[in-house]
Amino acid sequence: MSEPSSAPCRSVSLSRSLDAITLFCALTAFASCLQFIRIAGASVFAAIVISALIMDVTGSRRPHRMLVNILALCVLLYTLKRINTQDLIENFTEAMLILAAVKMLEKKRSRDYLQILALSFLSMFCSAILSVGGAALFYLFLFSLIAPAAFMLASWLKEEVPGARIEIGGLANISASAFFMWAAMLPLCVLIFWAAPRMETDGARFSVRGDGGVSTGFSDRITLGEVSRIQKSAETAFRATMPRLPGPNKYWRGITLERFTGDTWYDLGERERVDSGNIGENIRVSGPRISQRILLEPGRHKALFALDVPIAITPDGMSRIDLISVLDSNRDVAQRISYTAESALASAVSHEGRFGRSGVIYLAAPRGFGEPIMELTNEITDGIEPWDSEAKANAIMAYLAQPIYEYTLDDLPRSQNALEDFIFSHRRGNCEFFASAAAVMMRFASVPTRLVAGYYGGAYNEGGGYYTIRQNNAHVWVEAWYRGAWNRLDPTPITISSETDGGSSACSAFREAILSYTDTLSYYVTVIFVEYGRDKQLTLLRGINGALENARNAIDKTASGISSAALKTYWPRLAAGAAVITMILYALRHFTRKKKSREERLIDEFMLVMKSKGFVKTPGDGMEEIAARARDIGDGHLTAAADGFVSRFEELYFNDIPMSKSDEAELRAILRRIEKIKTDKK
Amino acid sequence: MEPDINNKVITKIIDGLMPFLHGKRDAIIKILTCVFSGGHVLIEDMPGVGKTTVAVAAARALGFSFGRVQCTNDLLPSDITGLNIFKPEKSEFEFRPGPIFNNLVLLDEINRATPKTQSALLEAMGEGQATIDGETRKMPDPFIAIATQNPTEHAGTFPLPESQMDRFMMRVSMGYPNRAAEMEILGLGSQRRQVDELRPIMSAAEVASIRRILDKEIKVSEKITGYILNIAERTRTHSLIAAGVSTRGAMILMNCARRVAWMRGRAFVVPEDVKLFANAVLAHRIQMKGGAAAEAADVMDEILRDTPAL
Repeated sequence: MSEPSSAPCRSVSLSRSLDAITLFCALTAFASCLQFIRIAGASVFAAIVISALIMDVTGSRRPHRMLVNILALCVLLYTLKRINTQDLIENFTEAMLILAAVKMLEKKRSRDYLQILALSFLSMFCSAILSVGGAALFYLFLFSLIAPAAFMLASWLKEEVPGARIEIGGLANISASAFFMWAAMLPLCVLIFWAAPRMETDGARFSVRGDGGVSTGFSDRITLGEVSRIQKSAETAFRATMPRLPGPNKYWRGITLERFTGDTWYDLGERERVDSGNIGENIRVSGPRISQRILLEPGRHKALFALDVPIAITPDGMSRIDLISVLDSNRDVAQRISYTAESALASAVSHEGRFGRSGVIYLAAPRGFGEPIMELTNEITDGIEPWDSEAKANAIMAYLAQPIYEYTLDDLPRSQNALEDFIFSHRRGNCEFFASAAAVMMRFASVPTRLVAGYYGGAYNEGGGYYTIRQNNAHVWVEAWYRGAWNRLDPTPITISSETDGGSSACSAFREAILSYTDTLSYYVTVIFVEYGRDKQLTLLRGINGALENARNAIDKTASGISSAALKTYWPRLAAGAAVITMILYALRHFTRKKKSREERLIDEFMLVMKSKGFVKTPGDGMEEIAARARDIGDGHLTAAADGFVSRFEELYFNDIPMSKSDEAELRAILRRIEKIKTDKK
Repeated sequence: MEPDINNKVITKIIDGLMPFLHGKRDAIIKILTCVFSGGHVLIEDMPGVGKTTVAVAAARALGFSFGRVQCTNDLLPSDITGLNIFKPEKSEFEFRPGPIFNNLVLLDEINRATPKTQSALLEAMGEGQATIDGETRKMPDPFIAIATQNPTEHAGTFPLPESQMDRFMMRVSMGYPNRAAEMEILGLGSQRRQVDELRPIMSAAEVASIRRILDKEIKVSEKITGYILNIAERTRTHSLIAAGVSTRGAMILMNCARRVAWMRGRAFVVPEDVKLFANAVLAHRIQMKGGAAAEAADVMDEILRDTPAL
């Protein structure tokens, strides 16, 4: 069909578009793996991809196939040499990525594109195993959205001559079918995800990283003077689903640190922890009760956190013993731990007869430590009755609250006697210094004191209804014993850890919004996908089973003529469920295909049948013209049938008579008859 | 493409005209379409290929009165419209109608007439009336003008302005008859006498009433009007066309499709009815861009091929 108007059809090179799509897939894989591979591996990948791109753009000569293969072999050998049990998956991921990049170097044939896609997918799969999180899921989604188009184009390329071009419209069609494949596959994946049998032990419950790389945020010991700077990490520590609390004073209690060695605070060796933070059964605490559901991020769990003061903690989906063993294992765990905590909002908690046993530890300081601090303490508490612990504690708090003491995260005192430096000369420090100073001074003043490590503040996510507590919310405060109770005292200037981390400028507000948004997504991914284990599956199955049982019972009851309340409550739910499913199916149908009327479908079918007989329609052809062609080649049966269909159809269609079911059936019968007629195809 | 005629009236007319057509069946169907639409025909052809014979025969068969104007550059408007002549015996003016006051008027070589005469002719064609000495006189009903024009000869002619081309429903080109037909014609010799003896198959009044009925009786679905407008739209946006089809052009195409449907024995219009004479109806209404090498008819063919019919 030649066009008199010489407007050329807009088209792109087939291999060029394949190049672009495979590059996109490889980059997606790269992005998803970036956090697990070493910088060297990442730069090798980047360098190879960039040089491949330059070759693409400039069209310069490709390296010889053999050369590329040797390079790939080298990469494999190098990886094999480095492989060990510790970083097995990381090394493998890296190797896959680099191999994919190397593949891009050569002059690509159809199968090379497929290889790049497969390698990208493999590395992405590895990264998904490593991360078990929303980001990996997102990248997989992206990949699976694009890859089908690449597969289609690649298999097309195989059939085509080199330098074949594809029209923009054709490309759009391919993208549309790729999207359809993706959309069709999605419900199946979800079904498999929910229904596939689960292993008794979670596959992902192995060590994630050989060494716990995190040095910021919460830790179970505090060493002063080691570093001069603490990096802020915006990583999420845990999330707490609960109603929003008024006021800023949210202390998330972790553990208490009792033993002080002069520069380091330790947890008591004997691990008195029952639930968390040394709070035992025999406590008395007043204040409003609040229940939270806490979801810990994977990592090396050292404590369970709850709003101060926790009363009871109930683990979800695992026994208490399992939970304690996870905490004690001192290993990073990929599994997310969740539990429900019951707390009383109070700043003081009294014990009954528990304190005396190990009381001396709360007053201990290393022998000969901190003479100047002791002198200062005596100065501060001078004139206060020795028995009045509360007054002494308050005096010390007041001393540290002077404006000469400044809060800072960098430029921390760094020396052997960091605490003395902080109190007397440096006067700048973070919560560890403030809390340590206060605790040490109180101990010198004979007030039993301990440190509590946990988190402070947190951002409330209105949509999800939960608090997000990040690593940079980590905090240390003091508890002092007076009036028969542990009293929470926080010597750190309160301005430092407000809920939004001081995000005042527009830029950081935007960053905060992005963080909050991604956090919500990640929360739901965790709740819906990652947390979905064997026990949850069983619960779900039981639920479905129960619902079915209910329905059966209800039906039985109605059948036997008894009006049942159960049916009444059950029926609306069933109806609502059916309605929702119908709506989803309808929406899918509506969006995935252009709605066609009965008439239009019949036209399409007629054209299809005639096409199978060798009469191909061009856009401008009407039905009569198609039928007339059959007449031209002198096929009597076909002509009669086709004419019959056309005249019957047109009589309805062009008279604007709505087509009834029987008309449709009649026309379809003619179509079936035409189909059966044998013709000599040209 | 030869249209398949399933209409008794048309079949009868064509059968009656058959001895004179000699391969001009397609042209006579076009002319009959115009006759039953009340539209005028422009025949672009060399002299001596049988235009007059066809026109006279058609007039005879349809029971039309026939008038003929041989256009020359000294032809005056009054020569075709007629004039008032003073009758001394009655001492009053009496109107003597010109050749245009006939059911079928053959305007030979219309581009030889001066613009003044052309405009008088075109007024009569467009309005169905002529104004003589301030008095407006109606044409008979039906009134069909068949104008001819020699496409090759330009010396001393006044080509019809583009805007006036719109007055013709169709532009028809008959071309030379094929060898078999020419053989037949040469064998038979002149058939003018036989034409004169042709018995009318129907009357002018019948033609007029059929024409009026067709406007109402033949169903044009919105799908068809949509298709017609799509075609018109494509002529307006085509890169080689300067001015596309007017709304009147689209309307005439629709009316033409009605007649085609009727001739084919249907009471409703299908896309093929629109397409059949779309080129003849539309091609002379579009103006190609200057320098465009393509012919309007070729571009129209392309548009008809590419506009989805269903």
